[in-house]
Amino acid sequence: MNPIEPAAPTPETAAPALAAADHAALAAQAEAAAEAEAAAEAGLPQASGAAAGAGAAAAGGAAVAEAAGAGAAAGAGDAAGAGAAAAGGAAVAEAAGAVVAGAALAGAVAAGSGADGAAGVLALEAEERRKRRRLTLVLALLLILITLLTLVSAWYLIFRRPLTDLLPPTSQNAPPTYLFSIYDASKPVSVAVSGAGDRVYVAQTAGDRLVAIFDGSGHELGDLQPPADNLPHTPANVAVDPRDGDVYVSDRATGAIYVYSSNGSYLRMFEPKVPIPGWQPLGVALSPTGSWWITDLSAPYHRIEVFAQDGTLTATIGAAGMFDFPNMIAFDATGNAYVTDSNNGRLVILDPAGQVLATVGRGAAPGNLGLPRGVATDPTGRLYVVDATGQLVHLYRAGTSADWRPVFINEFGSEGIGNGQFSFPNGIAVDSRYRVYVTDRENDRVQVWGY
Amino acid sequence: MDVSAPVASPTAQQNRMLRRLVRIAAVVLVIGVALFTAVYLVDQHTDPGPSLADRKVATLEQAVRADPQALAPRLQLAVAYTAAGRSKDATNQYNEVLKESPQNVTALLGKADILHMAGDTTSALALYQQVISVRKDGEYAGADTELEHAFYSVGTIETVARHYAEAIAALEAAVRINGADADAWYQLGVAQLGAGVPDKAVAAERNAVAFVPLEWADPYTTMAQAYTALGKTDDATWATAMTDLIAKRYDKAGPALQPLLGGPAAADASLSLGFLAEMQGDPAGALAWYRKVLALDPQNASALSGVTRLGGGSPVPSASSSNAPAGSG
Repeated sequence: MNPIEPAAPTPETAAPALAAADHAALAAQAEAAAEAEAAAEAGLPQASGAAAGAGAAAAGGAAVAEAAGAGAAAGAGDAAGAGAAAAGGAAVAEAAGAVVAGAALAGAVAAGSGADGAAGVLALEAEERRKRRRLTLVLALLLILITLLTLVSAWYLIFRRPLTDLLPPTSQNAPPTYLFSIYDASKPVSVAVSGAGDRVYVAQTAGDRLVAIFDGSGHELGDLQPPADNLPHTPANVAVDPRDGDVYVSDRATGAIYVYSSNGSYLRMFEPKVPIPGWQPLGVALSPTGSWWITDLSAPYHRIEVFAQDGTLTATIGAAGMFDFPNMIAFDATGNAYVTDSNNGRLVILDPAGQVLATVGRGAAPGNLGLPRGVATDPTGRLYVVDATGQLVHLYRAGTSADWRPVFINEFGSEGIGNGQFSFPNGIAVDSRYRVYVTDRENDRVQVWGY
Repeated sequence: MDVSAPVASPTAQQNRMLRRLVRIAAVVLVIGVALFTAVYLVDQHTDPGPSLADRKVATLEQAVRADPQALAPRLQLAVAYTAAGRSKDATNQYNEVLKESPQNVTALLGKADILHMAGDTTSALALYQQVISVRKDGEYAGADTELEHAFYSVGTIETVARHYAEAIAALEAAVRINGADADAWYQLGVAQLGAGVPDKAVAAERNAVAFVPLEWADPYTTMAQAYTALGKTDDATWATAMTDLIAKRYDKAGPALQPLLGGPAAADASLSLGFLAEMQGDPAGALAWYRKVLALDPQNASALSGVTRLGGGSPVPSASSSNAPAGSG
């Protein structure tokens, strides 16, 4: 048997070794070097290996030392293996074998300090194994973190959403923070934004009274020109069709909704298939099912009209006196509609069929409204309502079937001209990156907020 | 075999390799995190540039340079400076205007406000009085908001100086011009309490909170003091409970209000309990309290408003939907 290979422990070798262990323990330590030398003189093959085995046994336990002592008959290699087995099992035996292979140990034995050196080597080996376990764990952890970082980076490069989006929606209750403003808008009342946030459309009610187009950084790109019909045009509300990027502009003064391509070219007019006398469209929103919900301020009473794509009126929502200047509409993922019933000072929540589910109005509770105007939702279920007289934006989480009333979670903004302050805010829009655009009417700007 | 040369065990060799891998992975991770952070911050951040106030100041400075004799741009610039917190620059502009037009009320008021804010009440008072002397006999004195502001400011300064008679005179003039000025009503109540007429103080503070019943505790504090002076302990307890309610100390407000329901402050206490229920998200409970108030005081505006907004007999009909055929809208 090659002494540099660990011997498998057997009952035959282990038992006598164990029996002699106690008696040989002290002697083995003191005589380790001499035994090694004797083994060499006995002409045992690879004497240094046998001595090493003895040394290992001395370090590990007296049984090994005894086995080494009996090595002349049994063979130093076997004795070493038996000693290792007696000392505690295959693992130690393996270690001993490994140590035997180490020339360092042989050197130590030759120098006459074999026992202590071997003990140190075994300890070192055990320490190395512990280190290996630790290093393996650290490496695994680092690889997991690198994988996570790669996934998060890929997610971000695809969606470019704030990292808070990775949190559960219900924990996303913090308000956005002010980022920057788009200046030089004249009394802006409404804003819409392309999904990617690269086109911002701002309806201005003063100056040239056009819908201005800005890029995502606030640089003006152009405007949406209404048809040259010599009518007194004033854009009231602007909406983007997320399916094709077309822009819908309501013009209450002329009783029309103009449709433009995303690059600003005039396309057509959206008209009810059966004309509505004195039609005064204000808020325009596309429902998840593809119908257009439009607030109408014409006689005999304010209401919401639902149109198919071709202009066919499919439903009218609101009895006489129900709405008083319904302003804007937004939808959540379930298809529920949120309507700012401005002069009634409330937000009306409607199901897809137009039935009232709940309202939020004026009052003492947190999140109650003064003069609600703009309304928007985002994919996390957050609901934004602009309170023009409160000079702020209320932030809610959409209700559930148990209680459809939105749950107030936060608010942002205050009155003033500073960054993040409003003077009669009105419209609001949210892009796919959760950037929030608010028209700050009397400050002639659109504020951009983000998470 | 060379037994003298140290040879590492396989485990040690593996560890060396693992260490190298750990180092490489750590470096990759650190660089990756740094790169991602940099990209994220650059992508999310947009330089906000100059603020609106700074932009206004820059535009108006240009206008003043273009026409130094024109007073309107200077006044606008002074207002913009004030908004930007540049009081000294604002005062300089007001002084330039007053050199040209010593009776210019906008400049007098603007300069007075800056002095008042800075604590120089003597100089401010003189300027407010100057505004009053210029405007009090004007054709539109009864609706002059600048005159009202001057009266209010005089009243505030005189109240602090404990010149209550002068304060009351000025503040009564202010509320005659603008009866919806809650600040003026509040200051009038403070002055009247100081002057030893707590019943009038209560009336003034009631007017103050008529416009902002739940956002402002100061009038209730004054009211509590006035009721205490009048020996109306229930009313004083109610007013104190209102300060707790406004401060969202619901655990103090509720228990303080309940015992008042059988006494002279029952209507006020019921209304406050309605507010409390509404603030705690219990609209049905609030509605019940508002109805109790109306049983005691059918004309109570706050209770009527509460019943209306909570849908208990709202003048706004409950919403309905009609899936009308095309063209029926």
